[in-house]
Amino acid sequence: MNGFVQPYSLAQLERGHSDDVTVSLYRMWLNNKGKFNRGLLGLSSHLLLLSSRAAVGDSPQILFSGSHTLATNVYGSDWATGEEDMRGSINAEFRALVSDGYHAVIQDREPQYELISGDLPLPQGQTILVRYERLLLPWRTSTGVRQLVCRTSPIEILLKEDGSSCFRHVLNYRLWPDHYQSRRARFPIGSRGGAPH
Amino acid sequence: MIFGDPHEGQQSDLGWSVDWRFDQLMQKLRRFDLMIFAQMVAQQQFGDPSLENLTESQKQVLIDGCQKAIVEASLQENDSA
Repeated sequence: MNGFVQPYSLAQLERGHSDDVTVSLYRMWLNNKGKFNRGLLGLSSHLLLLSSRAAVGDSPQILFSGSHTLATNVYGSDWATGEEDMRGSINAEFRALVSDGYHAVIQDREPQYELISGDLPLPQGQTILVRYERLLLPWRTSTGVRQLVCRTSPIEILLKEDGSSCFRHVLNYRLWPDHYQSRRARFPIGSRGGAPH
Repeated sequence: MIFGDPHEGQQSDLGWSVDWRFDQLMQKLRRFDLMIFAQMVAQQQFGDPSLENLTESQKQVLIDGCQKAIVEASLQENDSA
């Protein structure tokens, strides 16, 4: 598995580094001391909610994936609203690659902000290179139920052709998120739809 | 056992009406303070976070969408007991 995870300092978020949704989410967490509140509802389409338990070397179970998350865009809306364990669609090696951040948040109950880059094999057989920033936050309800909230901010996704080093530039998500949304509807990842440069 | 039993799963729900299961769901959501989670599901599925005046099929969708979170909350409760 090609990939790496580079932790970022939370001070970067406090200085406004990242997109508006991520910064707003982080400030909401700080202001509410990690307690669930209605403000989350307004951001929910951008959020992944996960269990606060996970096996060693694996990611937690996904409880909810908003319609505009990176995961929903990659795996589709049917995946996001299915009843089965959504992790089953995500390559196990990739889950292991990104699992340390989840475990750090579960154990320390502190936010984790990091850059993730890695090859992500898709169920259909293609492999994409995904590079994104991920903010993980530990939230709790007034009754003590804990969930992790994940916000991913894609930097770019590259389609890897037959495992070679030749990549086709599919998008720069941060610069053209709307273009990606509309284009993906016509040309799902892996199709011959061309790409913006 | 009623809706959400982590050890019984969906099997325990067989034979119960959707309305009854939805009422059980609401009780558990209140008990665990997970109403916001349910509103997220409703907003995603129906375009409206309101949990009022749902049709039977919408109630079923909400039950399915919240089940994993309820089971997870129940497991946490058991762990802390």
